Amino acid sequence: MRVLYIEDDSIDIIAFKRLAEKLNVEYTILHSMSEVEEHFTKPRIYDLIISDFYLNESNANDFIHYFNDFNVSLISSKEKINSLVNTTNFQFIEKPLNENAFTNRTKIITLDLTYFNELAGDDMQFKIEMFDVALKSLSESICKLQEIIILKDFEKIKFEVHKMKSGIRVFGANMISEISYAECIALEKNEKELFPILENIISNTKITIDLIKEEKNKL
Amino acid sequence: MIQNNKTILVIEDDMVDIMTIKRVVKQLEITNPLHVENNGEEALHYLLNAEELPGLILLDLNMPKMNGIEFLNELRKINLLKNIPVVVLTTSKEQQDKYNSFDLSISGYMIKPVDFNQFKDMVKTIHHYWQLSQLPY
Repeated sequence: MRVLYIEDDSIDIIAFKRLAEKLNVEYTILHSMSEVEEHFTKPRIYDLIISDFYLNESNANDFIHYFNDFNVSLISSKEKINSLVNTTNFQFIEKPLNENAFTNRTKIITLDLTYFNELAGDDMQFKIEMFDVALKSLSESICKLQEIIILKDFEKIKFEVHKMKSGIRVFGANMISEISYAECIALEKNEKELFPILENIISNTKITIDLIKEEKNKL
Repeated sequence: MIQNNKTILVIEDDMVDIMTIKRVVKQLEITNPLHVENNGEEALHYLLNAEELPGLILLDLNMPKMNGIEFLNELRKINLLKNIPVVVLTTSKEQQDKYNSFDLSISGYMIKPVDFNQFKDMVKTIHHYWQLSQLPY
């Protein structure tokens, strides 16, 4: 679990570090919008980004676009959240960050069916067809990926990883950033970094498949 | 004012994406016929044998057999086909893909958004623009 924490308050940072270390979470801390800008000039991979809504010189509206492919939660005081929830679509966590809120947000893989539901509407037949197509496509991708990892064929790895994106995107599984990152390092033939990430992608895709099956069974 | 009701050719191998595009086209009540080919090779075969050229090609880049860039390379060499407008519709943010595509005279490079409504707006805008534009054939 890799978490990026963006916060300008030194006391909140100390509290976060204590929590992250207790939960054995790998973390990076940034303190300002300029650090965020600099940090995202390179491709990055995080399972979760937690950012203070207000940083000293800016607010989340100014830098949220850097986090497009990530699972993001914004954090602020209860009073400020109350004034913000009706004006934004962001997910908020109340300060101070507690263990419960943190572990809830760090569940490894979740689905967000907003895209799928807007796409399908009330068309049950389309929903079933899309579930089946995505399940077949993701299962095939896992098999192919397992074969080509052994061959160390980076072109094919990149191709296959890229192909997984559409099924993942439609069902809103929070692993798009990991896939994009794997594509980048496959291109660089960075074997040492790539293979552990591919193992992670395969295991997360298996979880995603199970979650999609669960959703299908609910129909 | 609307100029054409020609076929839109979608070149895409991924079934999830094909279903998504078809669904969005239906939701937007776009009346142009939609024809799907699964890779560049099959698309070229279709185009060379088509009774009428499509008004627009929506092209994915990451495909087996003949990928999007290889397809564009071939398309631009064939006099009969070289002027068909092509919009790349991809999830690839790679700068090299963008350079290569624009080098081959594409009309637009669209990255599929993760938000459904943004994707729908994107398809609507592409369609509207090419409905209004004159074609060279």
